[in-house]
Amino acid sequence: MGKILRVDLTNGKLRDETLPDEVLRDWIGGRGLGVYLMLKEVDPKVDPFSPENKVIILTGPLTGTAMPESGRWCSVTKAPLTGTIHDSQSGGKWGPELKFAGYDGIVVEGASETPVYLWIHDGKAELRDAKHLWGKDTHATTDILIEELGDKNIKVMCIGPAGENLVRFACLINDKGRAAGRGGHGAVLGYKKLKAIAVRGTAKPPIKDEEKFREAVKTNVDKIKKSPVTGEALPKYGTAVLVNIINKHGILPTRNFQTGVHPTADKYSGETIAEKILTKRVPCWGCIIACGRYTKTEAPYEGEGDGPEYETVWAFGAQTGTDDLNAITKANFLCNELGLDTISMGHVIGTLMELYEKGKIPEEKLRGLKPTWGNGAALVELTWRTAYRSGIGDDLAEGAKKLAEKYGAPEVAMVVRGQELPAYDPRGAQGHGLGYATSNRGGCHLRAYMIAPEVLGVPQLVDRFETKGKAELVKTFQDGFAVVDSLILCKFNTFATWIEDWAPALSAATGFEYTVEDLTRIGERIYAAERAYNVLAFGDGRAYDTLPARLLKEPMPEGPAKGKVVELEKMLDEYYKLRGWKDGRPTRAKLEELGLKWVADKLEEAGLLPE
Amino acid sequence: MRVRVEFFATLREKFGKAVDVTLEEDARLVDVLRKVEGLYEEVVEGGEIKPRYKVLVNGLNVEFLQGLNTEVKDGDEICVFPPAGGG
Repeated sequence: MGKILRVDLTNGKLRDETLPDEVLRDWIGGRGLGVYLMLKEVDPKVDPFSPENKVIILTGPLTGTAMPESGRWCSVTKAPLTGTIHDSQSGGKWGPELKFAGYDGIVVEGASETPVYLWIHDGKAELRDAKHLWGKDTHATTDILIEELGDKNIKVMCIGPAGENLVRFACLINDKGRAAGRGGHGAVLGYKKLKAIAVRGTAKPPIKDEEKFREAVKTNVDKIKKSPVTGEALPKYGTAVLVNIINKHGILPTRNFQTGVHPTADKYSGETIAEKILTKRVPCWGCIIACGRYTKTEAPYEGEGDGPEYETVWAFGAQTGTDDLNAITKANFLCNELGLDTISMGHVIGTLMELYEKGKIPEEKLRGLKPTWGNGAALVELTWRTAYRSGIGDDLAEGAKKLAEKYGAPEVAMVVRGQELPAYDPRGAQGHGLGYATSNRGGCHLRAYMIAPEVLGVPQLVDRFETKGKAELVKTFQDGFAVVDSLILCKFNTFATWIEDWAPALSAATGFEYTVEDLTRIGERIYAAERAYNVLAFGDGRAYDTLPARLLKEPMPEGPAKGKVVELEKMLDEYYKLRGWKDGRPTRAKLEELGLKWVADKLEEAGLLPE
Repeated sequence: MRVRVEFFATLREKFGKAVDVTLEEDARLVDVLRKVEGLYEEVVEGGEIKPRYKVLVNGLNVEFLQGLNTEVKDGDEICVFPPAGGG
């Protein structure tokens, strides 16, 4: 771990760099390493759309090894959607191939005047002209590059027209159907005119102690195989197995979080997908779970491709009041091809539908389209218009917050730090609400996946309507998941394994001796560092650790969670105490304890260190 | 009185999507489970609901009600989920 390719797009220059051991030991790789590099190199006040912003593409020390579910990579940047530090994680096959091509990461700097792509193979890298790719969708781009470079085993990560058009939630697509989805990383690459990164190689990622590593891997493999979640439900039904679970708990956000029950949700559930449109299961590289879907839709929405996932069927389903699986899935295919985050795209369409229902959208902006709840054809049309910033699509492309503000109803935007909330209504899962509010990258269910304990019973079932004890759980998940995102592993490991299972594998792979405490501390460090970056960027703190008024003040109108709101304040005070933060900002004492004196100094210099 | 029992994920293969169960007044959840062939054995072990199985009565997990002794009334909806997860 530690071999980085520096790409200076302004001058068209590439150079290799090796990171020092201390940095790798303290930040691991992936998200942690990205956060460190951002804090060191990218002024938190930069405009995300500027040459000074960077896109840091990283694998982890376990990527491409025998460790199960290690086929992932991530991107770290200052996000156009949120203005926060932001990491986005992806699966598929591209991450390991970058490792095999001889690099652990790529730091993309500056901006090119004309479109270019990066070709990395067997330890060599070059920038090439991409004028012939500009304007093409992700599938065409991938096909052309594979043809042009002459090897069908090349893996491609690229942006689509949405990224080129600076849509604030444009994503990075790899292997045609996997995404580093949220936050608009695709738009940052679009601004920099880096169209694609193609990788190919045969190098084997190094392991310091092969025998100890094999033992640790075996422990992890056994646990994953034995767990009924990872061994049965996910492989058979994919992530959309959650649709009925979440709906029956009354927390499936419907019509823009106006209620938590969508009576016909089974029409787009994992069970129905498996029955009606699934053609095969797709594993990421090195995965023994294989939860991925490959599906084929019917007229009038014929198509085929990867997905849809749980979040996607929610965003185009309950969030828009639609239950037509073919329309939902077609919109999903289009997002993959155009390079759009499915969660934000579907969510924002729901925002538009509520604004339209309230009479806020001028007819001339819609060019005959009627974005009413349940209009399946509108999902497809609006996705296309958003990618090309056409008419109302230009407004959708700015995200739910700016859309709602523009049309005079900011309270309709269901966002945290500008990022659209995903597929769980926290009025029926208090801890999950705390997780949403305190997420450093905006509305996100995966900083602290509290649904696991509050609904699924993993590791133990807790009362979802209670606030007591939730702050501690949220911190534990946030710190643990920061580690997962740095190793990098798929979070579905966490249904079967946790830090005590990964520490031996990481120690054996890297030669650094990690205890459980060491890794937990690294997780805490990453979380505090991210928060510090945001404090420097825009004065992040308690005022931002909040939820939309609908979730704090409007009781759930029906279903099992009827009458509930999120009781955030109680949980927030305890959360800050546990983190050693004051009013949402890390204190000097806590930062120094985490080895971040230099970060405390930056905060103090800016007058932003809490007393 | 009648209650509806709904099944999900792998349980649909064994039990179908849903079944209506007729019971005496004052019935408990355990009575419902025993009325559907094979269901009690599927869901219960050592007198308790198996870990990670979720049984909901009207959307509330019975672990926070009275477990297997939870009262059921006419028209109640009972949902049974095997261990599952996602993102």
